[in-house]
Amino acid sequence: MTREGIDRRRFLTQPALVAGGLALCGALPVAVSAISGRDAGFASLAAFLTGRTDLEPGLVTRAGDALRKADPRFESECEALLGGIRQANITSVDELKESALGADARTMATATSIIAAFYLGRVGDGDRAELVSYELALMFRPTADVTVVPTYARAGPGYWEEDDERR
Amino acid sequence: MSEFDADVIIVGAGILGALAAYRLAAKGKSVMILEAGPRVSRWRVLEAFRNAPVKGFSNFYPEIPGVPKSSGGRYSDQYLENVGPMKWDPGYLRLVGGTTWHWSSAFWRLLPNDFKLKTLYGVGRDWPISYDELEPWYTLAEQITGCSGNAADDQSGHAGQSFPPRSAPYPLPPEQWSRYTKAVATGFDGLGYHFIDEPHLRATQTYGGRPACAGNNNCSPLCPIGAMFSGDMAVALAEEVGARVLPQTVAWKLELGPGRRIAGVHTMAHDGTKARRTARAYILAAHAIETPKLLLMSGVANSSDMVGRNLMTHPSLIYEALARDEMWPGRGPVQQGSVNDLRDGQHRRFHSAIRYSSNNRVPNPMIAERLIRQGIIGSELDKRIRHDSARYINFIAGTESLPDPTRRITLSNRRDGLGLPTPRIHMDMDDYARASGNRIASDFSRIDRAFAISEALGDRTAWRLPAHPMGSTIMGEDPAVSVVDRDCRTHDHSNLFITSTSVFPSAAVVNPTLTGAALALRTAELVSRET
Repeated sequence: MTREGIDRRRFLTQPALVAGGLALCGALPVAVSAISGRDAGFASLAAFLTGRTDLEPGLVTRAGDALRKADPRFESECEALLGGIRQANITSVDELKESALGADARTMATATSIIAAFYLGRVGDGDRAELVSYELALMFRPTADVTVVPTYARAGPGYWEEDDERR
Repeated sequence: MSEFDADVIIVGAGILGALAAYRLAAKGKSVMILEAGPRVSRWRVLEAFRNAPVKGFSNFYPEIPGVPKSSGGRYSDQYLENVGPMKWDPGYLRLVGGTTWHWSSAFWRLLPNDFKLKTLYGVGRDWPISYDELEPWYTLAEQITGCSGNAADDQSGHAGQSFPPRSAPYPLPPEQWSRYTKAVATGFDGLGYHFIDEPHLRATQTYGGRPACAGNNNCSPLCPIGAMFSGDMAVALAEEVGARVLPQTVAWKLELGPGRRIAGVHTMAHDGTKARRTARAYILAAHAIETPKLLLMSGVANSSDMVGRNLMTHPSLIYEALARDEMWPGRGPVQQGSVNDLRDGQHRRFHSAIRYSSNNRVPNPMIAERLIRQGIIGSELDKRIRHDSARYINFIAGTESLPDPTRRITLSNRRDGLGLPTPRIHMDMDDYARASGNRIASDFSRIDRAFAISEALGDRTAWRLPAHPMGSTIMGEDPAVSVVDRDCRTHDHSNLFITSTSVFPSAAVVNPTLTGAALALRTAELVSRET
């Protein structure tokens, strides 16, 4: 997958992390296989931290790019986080939260910044904020059966009079 | 060939200027509307909204160095100079269609008593006109725009007969209430209040080429499908009957001529190119900050020294909480319904009127951010987003300002990209509104109990000043203390009129646009007879 005009800097340069069979959530997410090895580490981390195996590759790339741009230390902090997870054999984000690693403020700051990028759909605040996604922001998913992503309709006029239109 | 560029020049292509233009052009007058900002297409604005990383009120609307908005951009955020005790962004746009690109279209008539605060309650000022005189224009404004409402309601909040008196029903049927709205209504009704419909301009069935509302839940700051009436639609109506709009044309000086009539208006394009336009009559419709700003820059219409003074809005307190049970805000439009019981009555002798306005927005962004800041991640985050969003209650308690000459807009020493002075605002709220705080706090506590809330959110004691500027070119009978007369004609210049919420002598507790629209149509009728 190539993109012209985009500076594809080296990201996580340890293919061994991926090829060595580190399966952060059981198996590598299907979509991740479409991402080249350089970004597969971040993609795995994104899937692990959000608990989603269906993150769009383009979305993952945007989030990674924005996070790297916002913080020059992000790449190394990602490596540290990945390393820490592997070392402690943590197999889910819920387990991470309860673990000793989860008590480490710096580690959790990195994890949180990744989670926020996908849930809130942006990296940063104010003038420096960059959009990751609006329509696909994960904050809307838990209520997607009932409410809308504003400006995206879910049904026709007056649908809201009924409690839900699943019936 | 006429000696004038048009019969009537209107400054400002917002909803009020456009409605005045529509009336005048429909009567065969040549109308030229000078608009400082550009034209925009809805789809472009929608794209900008969806791509904005931070979804503000105005930040995704065009940002132009020489024509700043009141906020929301690198130039706009430097535009207003706030020098008073309370910082205020009056929330306006400068583009074809004006500020109602981003509103929720609440479309209330004033009550007869709102016109007589001084006579009835000994506070503030009376209007020099009555509800009865404005009523036919209220009806016309509702018909032109396509207003939805429940004509059976007692909008004075006393659960009586239909009120105020209407010469025609609402052109569109009332909107369906969502489950959330019904739950909020039940809560307030249980307190002894009467939750009623809020009239608005969302099409509840197709009207005037607009589709019916499909519940995109984004009315303010932008309706993605144009189901909700906005100023650009009023401009389209005016253009269809022959009004001419000159966008990107900043009016910066009104020129005085013989007989103290206005002889011309000087304009600047965005590149600074100057021009002069002339008409028999001039109508200012640039909303309540830019209109007095133009008068002050020109040095006209101000023998009363009231231009820019008496700035008013609806100081508000915000209620936010998590209910015990699921409420599910976010289905349907962003705003539905109102509690008007405290809208009028003897309490207005001692403290302002109060109105509770229910907010039906999708709360996920705020809820998710809050949870992530608390360190919640993983499956717990998803659970809590759903749990909290389903239970979020939000409504606004609005009060009324009284006119006070120290609350004002003047000209600052700052200059915008065209070299024109920017507005300097001195704003505060008075004890009259603050004195409603106790009643509001008490009602907030009763709502807490009615919904068995688990958690109060936000700061319910922090007063906010919403984007409803009024009063800054005040209407009155006495030229010594007012800027315009009962017809919105400036006292000082017989061919200069103002159709804006800036003429209001009282704020009341309802959104001002419908009253502004009624006045604009009425004044346009008068001007059409004179030109």
